Amino acid sequence: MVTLADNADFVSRSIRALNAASVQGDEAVFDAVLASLVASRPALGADSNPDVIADLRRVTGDLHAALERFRVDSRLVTFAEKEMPDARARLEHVLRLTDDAAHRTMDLVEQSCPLADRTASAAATRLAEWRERGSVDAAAHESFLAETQTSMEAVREKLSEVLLAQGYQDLSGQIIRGVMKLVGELEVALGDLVRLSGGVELVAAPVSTDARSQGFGPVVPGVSHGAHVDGQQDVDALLSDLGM
Amino acid sequence: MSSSMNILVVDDFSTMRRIIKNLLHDLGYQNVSEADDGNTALPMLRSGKFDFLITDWNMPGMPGLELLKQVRADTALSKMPVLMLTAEAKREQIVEAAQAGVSGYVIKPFTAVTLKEKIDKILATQAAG
Repeated sequence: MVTLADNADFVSRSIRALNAASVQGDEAVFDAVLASLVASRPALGADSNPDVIADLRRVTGDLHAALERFRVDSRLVTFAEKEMPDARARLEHVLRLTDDAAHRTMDLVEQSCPLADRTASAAATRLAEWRERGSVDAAAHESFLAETQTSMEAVREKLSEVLLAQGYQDLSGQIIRGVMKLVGELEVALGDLVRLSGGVELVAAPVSTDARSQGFGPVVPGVSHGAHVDGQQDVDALLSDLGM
Repeated sequence: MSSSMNILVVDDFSTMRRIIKNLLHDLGYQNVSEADDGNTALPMLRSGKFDFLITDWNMPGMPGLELLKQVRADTALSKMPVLMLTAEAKREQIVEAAQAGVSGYVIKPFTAVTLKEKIDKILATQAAG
């Protein structure tokens, strides 16, 4: 004998199961639970009305789609409000890191060049003297060697610093990887949104003349499209074809 | 005139300006000034101080192609040698730059030898013309 309390318990358990299946998007479970609910209708003593079942299915389906869209929307909101500005700040930091490293390296190179120039020119003087006279002035030679030692030690130290300055690659690489991961997640979320909106007709936006005159930036292998030159020789050949 | 000529280097990245400036110094050109885009460069050029322009293409503000067009359209500047030094590598862009009257086109990444070659070639053509 099925009691009213048993019925209520069965119905509420079924609804919970329907809800869970809907949230998980598990259509098979959803249909099975719904079927068991329908099959139990005589036992539940409900009025036989197929429209109610059809409506229930439709409403639940709509609810399911709405919930999914809401999940995608809230993910996009997080991207737009928090993660995209963060990503921009992180890339700006990368720009700073690379800029600092390049300038630091150039500082060190600019400090080293005069030391190398001075040593080379002093050596040339010594050498010319040696070849001319067949002997060197001992005092001048000693001071040349001492200066060479000091200069080369300084150059060596600066080269070590140049090496250290290349550490930016590790730091900026890690930040760029983080941003790449975010872009990947955004791609998935936008893809879901397109899928949920039932697919929209995609029309390729034409490249505006403005964008073209502004420039495209460096060629990225596998990404840049269209005919482009491969190095200076190609450029020279093309210009020569144009009569330049 | 060549080693004493005043060169304006236009690039939005200070590192690239510094690289070009260093290379020009090595080539014996000591009078090198800098600008970070066409909008900054044009008034400097119009001051009449410069003999040679080296410009990037892709810059915020006024890009290099627009700067080239403005220079060619300005009667006082129209004969100025303009060397484009850029990563822009589409064939149609190079054709566009040539049509706009560029004097030379060096693609990044570039070498000191290429830079010297192109500057020398432009100066030779200018001297012959």
